[in-house]
Amino acid sequence: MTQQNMITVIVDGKEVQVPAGTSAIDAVFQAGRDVPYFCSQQYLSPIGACRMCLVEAGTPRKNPDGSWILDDEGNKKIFYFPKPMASCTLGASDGMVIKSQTDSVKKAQAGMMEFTLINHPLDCPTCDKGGACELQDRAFEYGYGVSRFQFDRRHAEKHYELSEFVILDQERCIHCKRCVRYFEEIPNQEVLDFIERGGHTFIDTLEGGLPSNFSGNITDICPVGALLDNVARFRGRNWEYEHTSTTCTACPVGCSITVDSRNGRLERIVGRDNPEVNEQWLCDAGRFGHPYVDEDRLTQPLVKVNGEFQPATWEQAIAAIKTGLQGVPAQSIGFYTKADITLEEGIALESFVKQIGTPNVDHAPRYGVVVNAPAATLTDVATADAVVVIGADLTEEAPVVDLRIQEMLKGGILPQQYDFGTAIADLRLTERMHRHRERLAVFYPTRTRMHDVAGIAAEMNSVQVLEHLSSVVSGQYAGGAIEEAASLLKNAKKPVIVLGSDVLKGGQIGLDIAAHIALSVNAKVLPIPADANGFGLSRLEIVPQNGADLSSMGTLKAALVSRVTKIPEDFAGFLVVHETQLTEVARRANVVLPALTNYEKRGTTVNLEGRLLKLDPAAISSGESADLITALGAVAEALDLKAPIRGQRSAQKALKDRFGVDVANLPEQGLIADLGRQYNARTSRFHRPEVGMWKEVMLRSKRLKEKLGGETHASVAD
Amino acid sequence: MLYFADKQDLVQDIFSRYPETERGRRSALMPLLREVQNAFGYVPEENIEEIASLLGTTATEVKSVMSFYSTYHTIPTGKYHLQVCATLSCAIAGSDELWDHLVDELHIQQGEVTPDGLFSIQKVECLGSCGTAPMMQINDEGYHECVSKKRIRLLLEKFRRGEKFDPDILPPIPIREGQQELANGLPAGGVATTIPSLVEGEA
Repeated sequence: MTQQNMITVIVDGKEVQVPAGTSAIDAVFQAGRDVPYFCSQQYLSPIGACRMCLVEAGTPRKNPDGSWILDDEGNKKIFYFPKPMASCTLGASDGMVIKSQTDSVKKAQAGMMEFTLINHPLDCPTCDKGGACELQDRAFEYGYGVSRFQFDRRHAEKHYELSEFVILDQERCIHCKRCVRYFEEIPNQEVLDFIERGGHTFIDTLEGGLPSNFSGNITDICPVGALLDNVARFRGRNWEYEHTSTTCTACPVGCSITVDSRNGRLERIVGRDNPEVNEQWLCDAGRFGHPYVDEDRLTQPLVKVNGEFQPATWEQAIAAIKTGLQGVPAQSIGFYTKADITLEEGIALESFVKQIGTPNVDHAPRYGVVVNAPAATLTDVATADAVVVIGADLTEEAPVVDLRIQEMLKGGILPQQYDFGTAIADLRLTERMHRHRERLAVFYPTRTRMHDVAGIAAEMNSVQVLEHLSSVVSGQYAGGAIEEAASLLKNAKKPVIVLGSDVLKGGQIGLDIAAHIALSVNAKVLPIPADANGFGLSRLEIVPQNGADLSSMGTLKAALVSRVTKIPEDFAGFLVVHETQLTEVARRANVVLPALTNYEKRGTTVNLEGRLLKLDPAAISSGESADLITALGAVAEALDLKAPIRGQRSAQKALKDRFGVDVANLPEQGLIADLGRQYNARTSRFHRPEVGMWKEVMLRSKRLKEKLGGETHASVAD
Repeated sequence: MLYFADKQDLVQDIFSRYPETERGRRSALMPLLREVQNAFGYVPEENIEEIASLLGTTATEVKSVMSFYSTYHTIPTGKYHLQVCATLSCAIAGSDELWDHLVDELHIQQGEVTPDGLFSIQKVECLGSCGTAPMMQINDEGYHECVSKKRIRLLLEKFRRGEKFDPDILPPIPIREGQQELANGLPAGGVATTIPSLVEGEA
């Protein structure tokens, strides 16, 4: 909590210091007391719609001469509001007295609860919200337990599919307006609203569905069972789930998530508050793209005998690897992994390839470039006064960055942090805030969602944009959007340049120009890595300095490939594939080792800001699946070697020695640390980045494939 | 059917009444809805989308605003749209009986139009003439006060014959030289409500 312009508020007799401008509800929470609420949400504007947070409040007043009006005992007389006040929309003032536990407050809150429940269908025993209902909890805690309203409840449409992922039950809606405010205030898409008024009001859309980028967040924030996650619906009750706090690795943003598993299956993913990264939001792919984790999982190693896979034990698999690698020189073995592995797995891979002395190692996808400019954080993006996006379709490549830019457009107000967490009702946030579109410039070869919200936008080739921008920054004239973007950057105090795949895949030259621009205008740069841990893995020596990269794999005699989606056709050597499912690549393998998904791993990932974030394993049953450290251990055993890193602890110790960061004890919100030099190597065209929110692997489900058009969004043409 | 496609001057005229900002532009929502309703008697779905695209907002947003006001209709109305005030004062003075009488007389319910296309009925929120309840508004053409069964019969007969039936209170017309006037030239709000001459004892 910041220590400036503090005021004193007395909550239930306890004095508490809060920053001026704090809402009464936050003052109450800061004092360690509780107030029930439905309509307030940390990142949405407070509106006082549900009237649940009623408290008694009063302030001292002054005489015309400036002295305080005193009571009979000589203390400042408190003038109470005549009725209980909604504390979410009431600003706390110096000397304010708030009573949150009096009989009158309890009666008011219980009365409000009774009123809210007049028309609520009371589906509780069968409601598919599954016990994750704030209304249920609050009714139990604050309600009368009986109702004086004995009449037929209003009935409305039940179980109405708003989109593939979100189900609406109009009957259960208590009109808190969270979903309506969310769509307008967070992704800036006014697709839900109240229709009709008074007792007839219901929530609906006329847009023929919800846009498939950030719609799932409304299922998290709905305080009742009105908006439901269609993927997790009817899977389990809230108390049956095992909740695991971890990090999403679907894209490089690294959103904080809670993975809910039940009976060994991943049933639900919900957003977790991390004000530094995703606040509380997730993209739809990160939230709903998980069903593949439980589908057709490999649970034990497979060994190919006479062209057919046979289930095997790890010992048999190691024996098969030993046979396969017999006589193969270390120089002819390659190690290739997907770039979303943990930092622990990365350092294990680095030390292992060094041990056996092979130069053939790589992680994919990655861009063979180095960014030599000050790095921006997501908070920098959200609080910038100018953002220039070049070559990035943010909504697809790193969706939550899109939301942080939307936050920037609203003036970059980050909700205040208190001892209890993020402010419940930050009064600086209001409905329909003015958006400073002139602070955003977007350049991409084709039209993106960000083009529609930017004041300056053009559909242009990214390298061309960089070259022109660079020349304008250096004093030449280019005209049009480029000229405007350049002056936006030059006049800004905290500018940020976001670089996406279309720049990064173009090679080092674009990056050098971008660095020149950034240094000239004193801007920070946020490049979007090609995969979840691209940032972290680039700080390890697992790129082919002198060896074969993935496209040259055909020259090798053997290889271990971990979760890479495509390998060259001409590879004819001995192949060990470490995979979660029997993919196209896995089918070509001689030995398949079952792999863990990132939801099941313990370790550390580094997001696009360079923030180290924790991965914790959810209770998902995947048989004998193992992480890359174990898979490398198996290869080491087959080679009669003892790998230097054989487990989490040794990997974490190695990381501590290497980076000076104790990754075993990372703070909940992650930690930005200097990870030193970036290792780089050329990439062939084979490493064309996989952009698109819905990764290929998430589209395993036929239903999803059909609904989402059957393919991932392709990157712009080379 | 697009309504504003060939009426760019009208659209510009409406927009010119508001500030040239995103918010200002949104203010044009109500007059645009009114234009469409005046033309078709209701606002069809495609015109909701048309207005949304003119304003740079979503159809949901337009529908939300529109559905808040009982004055806009999403379904076709009759040539004479009879709006019965159903709020407290009128309810006490018998608006429910008035409504039932209209339903019986016209054989329609809310949302329906008589086969001859002449009449439709709607219950509306307070029309602001509590002193002369029960009261009714026909189209946008003014108030009929202290409405009795006999008065209804007279009204319907006149309309069926195609004759004009003057309301008791005319709607105010826009301010001219600082004075808001009724269509008959009297100053708006300046004179006491005239008790309708057609009330003849029967309730």
